[in-house]
Amino acid sequence: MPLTFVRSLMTLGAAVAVLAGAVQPARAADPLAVSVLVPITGFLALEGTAQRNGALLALDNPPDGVTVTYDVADTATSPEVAVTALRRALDRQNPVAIAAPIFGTQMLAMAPIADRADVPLITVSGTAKLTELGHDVVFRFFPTDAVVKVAQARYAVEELGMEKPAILYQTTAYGQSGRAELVRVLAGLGVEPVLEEAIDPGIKDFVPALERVAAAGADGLLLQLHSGPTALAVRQAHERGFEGRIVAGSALHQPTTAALVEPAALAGVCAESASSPVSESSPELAAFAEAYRTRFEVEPDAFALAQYDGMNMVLAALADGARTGPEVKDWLAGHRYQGLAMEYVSDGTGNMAHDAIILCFDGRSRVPAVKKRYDNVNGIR
Amino acid sequence: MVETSLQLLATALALGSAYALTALGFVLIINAVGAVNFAHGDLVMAGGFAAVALAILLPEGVPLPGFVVLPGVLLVMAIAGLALAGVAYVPLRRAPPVSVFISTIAVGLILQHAIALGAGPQPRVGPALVGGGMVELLGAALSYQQLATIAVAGVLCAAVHILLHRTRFGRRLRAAAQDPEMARACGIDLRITVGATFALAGALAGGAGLLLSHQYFVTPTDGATFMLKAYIAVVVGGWGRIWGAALAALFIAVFEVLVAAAVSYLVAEALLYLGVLALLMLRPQGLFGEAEGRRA
Amino acid sequence: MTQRLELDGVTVTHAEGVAVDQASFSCASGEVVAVMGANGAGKSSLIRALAGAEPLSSGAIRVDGQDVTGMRLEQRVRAGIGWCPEGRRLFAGLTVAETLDVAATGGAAERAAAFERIFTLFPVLKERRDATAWTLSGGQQQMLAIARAVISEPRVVLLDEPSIGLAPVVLDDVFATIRRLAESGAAVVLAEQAVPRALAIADRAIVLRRGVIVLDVPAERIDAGVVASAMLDAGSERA
Repeated sequence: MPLTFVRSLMTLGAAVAVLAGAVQPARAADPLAVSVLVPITGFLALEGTAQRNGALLALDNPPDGVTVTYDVADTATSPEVAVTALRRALDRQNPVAIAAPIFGTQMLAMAPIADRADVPLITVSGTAKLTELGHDVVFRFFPTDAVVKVAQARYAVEELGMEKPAILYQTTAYGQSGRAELVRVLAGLGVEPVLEEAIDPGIKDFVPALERVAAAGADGLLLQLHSGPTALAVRQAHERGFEGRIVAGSALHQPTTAALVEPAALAGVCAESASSPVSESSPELAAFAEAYRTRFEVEPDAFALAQYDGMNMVLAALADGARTGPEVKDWLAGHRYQGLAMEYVSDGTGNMAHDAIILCFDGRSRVPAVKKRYDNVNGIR
Repeated sequence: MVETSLQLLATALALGSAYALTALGFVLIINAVGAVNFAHGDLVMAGGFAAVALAILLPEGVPLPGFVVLPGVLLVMAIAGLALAGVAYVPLRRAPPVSVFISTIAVGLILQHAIALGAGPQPRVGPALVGGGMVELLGAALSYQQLATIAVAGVLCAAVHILLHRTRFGRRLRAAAQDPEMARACGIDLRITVGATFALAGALAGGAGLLLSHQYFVTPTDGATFMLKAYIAVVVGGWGRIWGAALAALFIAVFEVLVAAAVSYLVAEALLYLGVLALLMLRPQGLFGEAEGRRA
Repeated sequence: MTQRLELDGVTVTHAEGVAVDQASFSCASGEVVAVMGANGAGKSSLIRALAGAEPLSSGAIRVDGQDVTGMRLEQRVRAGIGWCPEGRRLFAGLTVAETLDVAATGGAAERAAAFERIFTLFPVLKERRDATAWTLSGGQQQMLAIARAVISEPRVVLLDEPSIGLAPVVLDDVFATIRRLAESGAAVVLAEQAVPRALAIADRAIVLRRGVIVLDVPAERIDAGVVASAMLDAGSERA
């Protein structure tokens, strides 16, 4: 008797659920949702927070006629957490676009799931593999190593005359893929590095490495390191009286990295980046930097700007009538967009950014100046 | 070549002396309560941030800012050590040791995230002990900052030695660590000795954090690296041997720096861990033998 | 007349069962009470309970009329109880002088005087005052353990099997010292396996069997044989 009663109750419940689902208004009529899934804690918290800030600055100022709601979730440090956040976002918010983490490992885990849900991921991750796996949902708004490393190597060789560079690169995926690209570009310029040294992110003492750089007779340093290590390497090289020039990776363009080093130690040191909002080389950039500074009480960097541009391109798609994930995705794949940092257009696999810049510090200030632009590096635009 | 070696040695000693302070605090807790404090590395990191925070409060242009904030950092971190004891150790002192592993790991994580949320996740540079400038010693250029770091670490270690061996309170700490029940029978209040030990360990961690924060910056996620160094130092030096741990920490830094300069960081790291494994297999009581081994 | 030390129905229970069952006896100032029994009879549990290292399930302990039953271990020194535990349990890494310094109570002047007293009572410790405890010989270690227990001039001295592991020639010294402790006014409770030696210096003999006191007589009235059979037999004689 009790069992059949329970069964009837369950059947009734199921019937109610089905009816309720049928009676729900069509999703497309809801305000459009965007999810922001970025690492706010953990070792990429700095970049993830920049992503979040840039995304929010864009999403809070949509074009006329467009309303979006957004949710922010922390992807922390592991792929599992990122995947959970993604699944939850897809279930609860049904977003038409997702601001996705800079962390390549997390992106690789998220891409297949986003692909099945057909929702575009807007990221600034540089990990090359992302756009090589055949998922058409990944859109990266930061130039990949194939672009920025070209700028870094070419500036070092063509402008600074480096002939015997030493490469210090991080043991992480970021470091390893960057190094591979640097070596390739240098080879194309007829230059071979005299030393390639892998540096664990936990290492704080660069003197052994600098000793070996000197012993190898290097005339310049190319760095592919994260923020703290870059600052340490630059500073310790200065203290040792290293005479060659240094061209660092994007980490050095970040104001928080430059803040760690005395301006004098930065004299003549250069870095590659997609952009440098704090260098404020145009009124629009200055306005962006000011708005960012006021709202978040911290200086903006290229990652924030790239995410800002990316989300604005999504908003442009919505303004142009896209209403669902697939529609936004197709719009992003098929249109050009003039952002603050550069013009973005897909190369067919989701790489949207193809310009890079080289910034250099003058030894008096921590705000670098743009020294050279490398536009359309791989000929896509 | 000699200048290079001297240079490397100076760098290694500066780094190693900070590691030695870390290992010292860590092993004091192990000795006193038999508990492994997995939050110790995060205490060092917190000490670095305390140094950064206190330095921000100083007016512009104060000379020797590192020295000025040092007492404050030691005090703040001693209190942090006490708080750690109260939260992670005291409620669990009758539970199996593994409970304290977990509770201290938890507190370490909370500390790390709290600081990341409060101060931001980016690396920070702490106050310098002394101004810039180098001095020539046998052809090698050593920075005043490096020499000051070694000196401060040495003074702190000496202070701990004097406390433990030349004061009545220190003797009572040692007695309580060696046989808590008999110490109680002599009228010693273990709450005071345990509290004092955690406070001392916290202060030493704070000192190490300050010393490291200028030369090497401090990031909220640094705790794990420091923890690992301290743990290896204690294993190599002999579990529970106070000065064995400090010497081992120094040795580890020197080894790593010299091998990294000669070959590469990866080889230095690999050789270090291989060495530790070999030591564990061939001489598990550590280079200086376990303190527990002597019974009377 | 209040005895220096009084036990009143003292019962100590462990997980395995009752270790001391309703023990009642007293020990006067200047008296040595030898507590004897087979292994596991409850001697150590009794001593530990008196020292404050184990709680009583029931009963009371009084020192000069003052009830110390509820006092925690670290408070018993001030109550006038000194404990020399089984196995000596010295602070291995501390020197003789450091050990005494840790155990001595009072200000600097009182501690200096205490040191003098101890070195008079234990001349061998004066010679070895800077030796680390674990480097001492067995006999010297026992002396240090006793010294640590008595440096605060306790009214009650508890000794748990001090003869273990010591050579006969050393035992003479140790037991002579224990006798001297009583002569200076303390109430001495001595738990011992070495029955003849214990009887030689004791005023009273108590035998425990499975936690129960089965014999409580003046020591001169009996010999080792009586003690042995009391340890094993079902007979009891109280006087």
